[in-house]
Amino acid sequence: MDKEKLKKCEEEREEYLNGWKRARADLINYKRDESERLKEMEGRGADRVVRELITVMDGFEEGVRETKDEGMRIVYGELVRALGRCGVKEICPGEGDRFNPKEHEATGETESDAPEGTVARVERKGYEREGAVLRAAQVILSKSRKSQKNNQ
Amino acid sequence: MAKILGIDLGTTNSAMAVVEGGEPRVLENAEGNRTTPSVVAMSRSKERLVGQTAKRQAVVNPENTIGAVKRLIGRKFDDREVQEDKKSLPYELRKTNEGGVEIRMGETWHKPEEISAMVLQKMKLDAEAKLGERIEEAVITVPAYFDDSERQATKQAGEIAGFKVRRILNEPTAAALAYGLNKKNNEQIVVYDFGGGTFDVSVLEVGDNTVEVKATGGDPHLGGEDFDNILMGFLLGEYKKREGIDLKKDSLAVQRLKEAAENAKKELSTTQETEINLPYITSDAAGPKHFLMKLTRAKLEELVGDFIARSIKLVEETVTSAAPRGAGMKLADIDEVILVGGQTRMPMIQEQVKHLFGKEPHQGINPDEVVAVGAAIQAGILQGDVKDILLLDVTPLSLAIETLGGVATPMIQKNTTIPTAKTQVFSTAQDNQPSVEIHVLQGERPMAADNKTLARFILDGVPPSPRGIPQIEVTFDIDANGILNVTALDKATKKSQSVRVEATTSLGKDEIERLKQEAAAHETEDRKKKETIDAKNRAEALVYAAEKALRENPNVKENVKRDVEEKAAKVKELLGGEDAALIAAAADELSRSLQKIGEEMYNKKEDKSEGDHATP
Repeated sequence: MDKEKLKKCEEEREEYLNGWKRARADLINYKRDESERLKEMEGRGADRVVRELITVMDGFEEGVRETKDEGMRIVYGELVRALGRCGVKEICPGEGDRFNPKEHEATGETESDAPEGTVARVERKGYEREGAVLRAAQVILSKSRKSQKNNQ
Repeated sequence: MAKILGIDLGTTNSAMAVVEGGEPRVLENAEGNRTTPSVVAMSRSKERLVGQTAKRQAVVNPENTIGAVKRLIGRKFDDREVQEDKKSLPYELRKTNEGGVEIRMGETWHKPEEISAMVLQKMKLDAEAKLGERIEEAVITVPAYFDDSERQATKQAGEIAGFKVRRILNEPTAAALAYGLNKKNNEQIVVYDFGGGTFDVSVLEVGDNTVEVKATGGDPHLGGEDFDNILMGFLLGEYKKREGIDLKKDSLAVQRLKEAAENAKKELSTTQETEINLPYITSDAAGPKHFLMKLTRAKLEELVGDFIARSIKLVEETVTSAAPRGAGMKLADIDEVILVGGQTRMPMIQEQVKHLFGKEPHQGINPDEVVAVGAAIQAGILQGDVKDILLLDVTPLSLAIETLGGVATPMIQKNTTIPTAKTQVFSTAQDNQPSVEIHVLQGERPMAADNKTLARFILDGVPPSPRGIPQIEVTFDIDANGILNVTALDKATKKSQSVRVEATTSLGKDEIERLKQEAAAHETEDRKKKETIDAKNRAEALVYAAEKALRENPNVKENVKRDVEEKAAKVKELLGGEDAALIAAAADELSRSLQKIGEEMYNKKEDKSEGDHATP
């Protein structure tokens, strides 16, 4: 009788102990997930702001190229640096660089001296923040002159 | 317990969700987006790309970039629809020996289900990475009009991707599930689904936990993309009219304008007017040119009005036409209307649907995600047959402690999962207060007197000190059986007192409900009462501070001193009444006068600092 009781007790103990361990583990996991999620949310908030700013940057960049006002140039440089401090990096491949669809978006093709299928020129810079592409760099790919003739 | 993934496998975009802790959660893909383009490509460097990356090289590699396979899956090559779509699809199709369709991608030919499987596989991998666990099973949605062969092919796509497909679910049914409408009885539901490239309307009948599709209709080639295109055409035309420049030839300008047009379209869902500003869009002999245009909601509505009218007509036909073309019902027979698809954010669509049925459509859930959410809910129902091992209880009512002015300060909020504990530090309300009374309360009302008293005890032996200085640490601890232990500890003397309350959860269900309702009913009046108390507490603290300041600074100018004394007297007088606004105003005045003492002190000797603020 007592033996049976003891066995039952032990079983229960095992069950409760497991349940308790599971609950502890659940909490630890939840805390970890939650802190990750918080970090992610924070990053996403920043990403949203930067995404909005990207198109403004396009126009600003163009304007700075046109203007003779040194002050505007400094202001633009400061804006780029401020974004840099927030972890924002430009994606700006050079001529002849391999086309990488993870960071580049092909918007057209043109004849150029660069090897076929590589980047001929960048139409609009891309931007990334902590490894996440906020906008892919929009690039024109090279179509070699020879293959152009072949096609015709 | 393995999770089952709910997948909305769309024509242009797909989305996925799981049920976690009873709640659906949309999962982002590896790129951090909540939707994944249903596009697969074989790049020129012979790399297989899926989703956003495939889309990014579509312009230069159209013949090997495969999208919209949903239009082909499970169909015969000779189907009229396939022949029709073939004309506009940039990739090559051929007929298989069995009469099915095959698609050329790179050097190899694939069945549509293989292409869909590549999209599904990416989603599976991304979901696994996101959740940190393996996912073996899925619920995949299809349009309600899909026939058996299209459903079978979709199921096979899931299996090729490595899923055990637990169910193929109709998209409108998923939407109804997302809104919990499956629990209704004998209701007729219309689902209006305006996607990127397709428009579907379905009439459903729910009853007895079953959902039956009564009729389907729509237009497989009407969608939000048509809106974008017509808006683009308008903007290009306007610019040409104004500036004489055709931007169509400039790929960068077109790209920028397209993005701006899409953004403007979205913005006009919440505002009446927006601006499309694209500086340095192009240049001519005179220098750089800018694109500056105002666009009103009315103009957008004028441009797309015909599309919307067409969709409304299709809805009407689908509901009222006799079977098998329609459901053979009257518009008034429809009980609920659900909006699906991003384009339904447009107010004109919402208004016209509302006008047609004379009722407010459901639209609380993100219309881009509602189908995936519904699929996840179905998955949750399927995974629900595994019983939860540990059932945890919650506290039905909040537990609180009485603080200065008879306020009930919550320690443990209602519906907190137990066991749990919470500690907070309180102080004394008066100078040299020798003891504190701990009054333990249960209920949702802000004032102590309106809640139920669970226990009272006194912690004495608090050493004489100014009010706000002693630190009394109060701990509420509820164990798994719902037994509450309240402990008060004086941090200076380490002296403590505690009490055990057994009956915290012994309230009957009815009583709990009654208390909650009471709290709701008294909300306004209670809030006012609490505001009064808060104002009084603040005013009292100010009077105390004023008296202290005068005591400690005997050299204050006579007129300043008199001013403070008068203001303090006025506050004290008002404290007898109950007018929160008057008390607050008098307190503000006193506060301003008090600042003068401070200013004077600082002006006299800037080195001597003034400390200590009394906290109630």
